[in-house]
Amino acid sequence: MTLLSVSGLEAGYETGQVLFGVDIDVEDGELVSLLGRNGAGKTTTLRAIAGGTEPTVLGGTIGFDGQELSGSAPYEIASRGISFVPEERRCFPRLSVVENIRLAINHAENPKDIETVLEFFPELSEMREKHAKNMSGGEQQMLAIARALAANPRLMLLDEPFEGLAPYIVRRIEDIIAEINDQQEIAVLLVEQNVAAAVAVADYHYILAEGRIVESVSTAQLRANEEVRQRYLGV
Amino acid sequence: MTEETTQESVPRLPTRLERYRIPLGLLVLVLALRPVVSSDLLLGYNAIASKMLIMMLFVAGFNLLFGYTGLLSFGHAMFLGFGLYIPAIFVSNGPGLLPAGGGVTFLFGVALAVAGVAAYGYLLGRLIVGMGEIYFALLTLAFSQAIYFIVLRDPAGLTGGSNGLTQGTLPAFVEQTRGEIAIEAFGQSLDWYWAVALVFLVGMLALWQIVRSPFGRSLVAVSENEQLARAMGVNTTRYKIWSVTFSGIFSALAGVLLMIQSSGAAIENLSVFTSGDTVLMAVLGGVNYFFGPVVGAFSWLFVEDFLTGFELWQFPLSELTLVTVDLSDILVYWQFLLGALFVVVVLTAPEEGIWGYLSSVAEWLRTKLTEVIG
Repeated sequence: MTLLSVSGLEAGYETGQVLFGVDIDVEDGELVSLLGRNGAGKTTTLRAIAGGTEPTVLGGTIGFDGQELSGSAPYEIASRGISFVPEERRCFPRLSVVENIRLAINHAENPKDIETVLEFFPELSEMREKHAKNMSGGEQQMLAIARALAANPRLMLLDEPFEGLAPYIVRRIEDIIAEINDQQEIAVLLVEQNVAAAVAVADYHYILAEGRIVESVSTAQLRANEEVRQRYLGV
Repeated sequence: MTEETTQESVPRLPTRLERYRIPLGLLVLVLALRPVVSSDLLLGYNAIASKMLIMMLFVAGFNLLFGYTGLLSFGHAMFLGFGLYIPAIFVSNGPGLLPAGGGVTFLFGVALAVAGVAAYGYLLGRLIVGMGEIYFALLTLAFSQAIYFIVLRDPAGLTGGSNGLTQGTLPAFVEQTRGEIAIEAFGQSLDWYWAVALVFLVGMLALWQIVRSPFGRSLVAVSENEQLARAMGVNTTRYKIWSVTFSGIFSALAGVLLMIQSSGAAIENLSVFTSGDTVLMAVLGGVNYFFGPVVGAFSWLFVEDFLTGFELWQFPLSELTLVTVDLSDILVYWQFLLGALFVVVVLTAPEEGIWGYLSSVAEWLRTKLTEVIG
């Protein structure tokens, strides 16, 4: 069943339109990546789905579980089962690990138990009282994913979760994302520039260039199709 | 990695003690404050200690909005005014069946002040929290000035205009002899300082419960990253409105105490200077900390009083003076000295303040000490 169905999405900022008709489908429990070069509109797409003041949706529809999302307040979108992990400033620095996760639990309709969440993150359960501002980039990324998981969403939106992390932490986070997707049956839409990491975790890939989806391919197809990789991703 | 290991090797206070360090700290504060600051060596009079507790409660109420929610109110004096004026108006006029000067009249006035400030704070919040931070500051200032000028016009002869309310504002259970205030109730006499200390403790503990509750943690989330909080399902507008409401209630409570402390309602307390001082005290103390406003209000009032009452510098003792320097010409500029301290705080660590500085020194000392012992 199609969980998220974005069709003909047009969106932009005050400075100009960024998306010119984006179509993305995410099936229930699927792990999908949205690839593209810098400035292709990946983050804009994710932010348009998550809602908020920016970007402004100019046209098209965003269907989630059969209901239209665009125009809803971010907290309403969150309460329908979408967790968003932004690229920057992902955690609340003055709150501890436990407080960050509890915050998600307190504001979700049907949250997970905090211990269930921490089972996925043994690293975090050893630093429960540590404040996010004292944590490394990788730890903060884990905390952000843990917080998204705590809301017990049906879809997780992850904006460049591997950016700026050391290779061994990238692998650890790949494992966590795959594990959550697999065991918790949570669909994931992942925005990434790191094609290798995206190929390692996602089942299906959309490629965005200049505000339009130019290709949609399976992992095997992406691996095989060097031309696509060259032309749109530069790898 | 090294940071982590040093943190773990430092022995912590027993966890239970650690968990209640804020209530314990408040208790130690009220027990020690008067004996220390009112002693002859320091400020030498009793009223300053209760004044300090009142201002600490007021600034802490302000900081719920500023430090914990990220909303800067530039008109917090208006909330103080509710507690200051409404009970004073009630007690001096004795409306309806309630007799002027009665204890019940006073309590009724307090209840109305709290209900009034809550309703006002809620409506004001609904009106202005959506406008963005700068407009929030400007609009609180504007509303506060509007209230100031209404009170100054002395509507229906209720507020006393520029004279304020000075006659018959104290309820019967407040005894005043030679500037010392006592509460006389149920055949017992309670020193004013301890009455203030009681209200202070109850108020500060309530504030502590609020900031550590899920509600308070959500306020911190709103102040740190509003967009992320919203994406997580926090209705940030609602939280901000409630923060204005609660902040107003605590500030009005301080206003009630201030009315008795100064035997009436003075219009200066409603002025823009009071609002400005509140911001400065909070920043000076450290807006990121529960004890920040406490330290800020303390330092402010202490420096003000100590420096203005300190005209001759006599060394080494006033009884046995070898050197005398007349400082009165310099120390009238005490606000300049505080201003200089404020500038240093803002330039070095704007959210840390004196309390943040003290706690990092304490942390450093503890680490050094463990190194020496271990």
